[in-house]
Amino acid sequence: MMTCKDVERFLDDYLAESLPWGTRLKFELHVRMCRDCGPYIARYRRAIELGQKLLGEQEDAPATDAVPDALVDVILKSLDDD
Amino acid sequence: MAPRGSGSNATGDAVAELADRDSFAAVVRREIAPLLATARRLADSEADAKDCVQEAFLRAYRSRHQFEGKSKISTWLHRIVVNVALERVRKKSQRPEESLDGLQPTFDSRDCRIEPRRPPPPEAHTLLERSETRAAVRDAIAHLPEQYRRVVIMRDIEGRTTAETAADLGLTENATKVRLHRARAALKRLLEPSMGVIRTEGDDR
Repeated sequence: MMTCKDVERFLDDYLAESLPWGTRLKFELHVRMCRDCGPYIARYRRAIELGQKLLGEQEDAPATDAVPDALVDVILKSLDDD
Repeated sequence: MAPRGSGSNATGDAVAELADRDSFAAVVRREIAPLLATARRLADSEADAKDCVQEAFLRAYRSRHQFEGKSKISTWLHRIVVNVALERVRKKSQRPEESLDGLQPTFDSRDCRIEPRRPPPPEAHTLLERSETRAAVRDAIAHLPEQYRRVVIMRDIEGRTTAETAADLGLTENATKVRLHRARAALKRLLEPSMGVIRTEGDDR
């Protein structure tokens, strides 16, 4: 039977779906029975998602946003002055 | 106009796009809108966001000969603008980097987790609607010690593999995994107040 400490040790591999199936079963069994690990993992996962969503490259970002011409001009001038 | 991050980004083409001032100017025009959107998510004001983008392009121009075409130009520029924005956060706050030691999970003598009971967190996109949460996430990542911040950015933000990250940072894969886990655990702890923590009786066991 896994302990909470084991769950912590395997957590990133579990989230990456790279745990061997036997270890994954033991992991999931512990999480189902443990009142602390499930909520912990939910928050751990959410912290990762917050970083990804705030700082990550937005693949679905509209590529058609208006080009800010004034800023482009400032940047190109700064390249020339550099 | 070529599509963003186009693929023109076969290695040689991408490097050629950065070769001289005129071709770089075309890259500026193509990439500036998404970069400004990223900077706006991280900056305190519109002026700050524009300054970030300007500085990012200047840095990119100066270091364009180091671009090897291993990633898309858009990804390379994205990384630069994120780094610029986080540097500015650190400079403004003048806060020291976080020590991660006190931010790790704790266990009792039976290896059971010692963790306050908390409700499930709202979805990330809901949490990020609040500007306070966006600032908290940005500040938490900005103030991670550099060796941890770099691993988080490469693994979680850029989606690079453990092997790629380890090779880039000159670490073993195991050391990379340990750093990532410590950083993620610290971020979870630091961001908990932004996840709608509701303390109830019995939380202090």
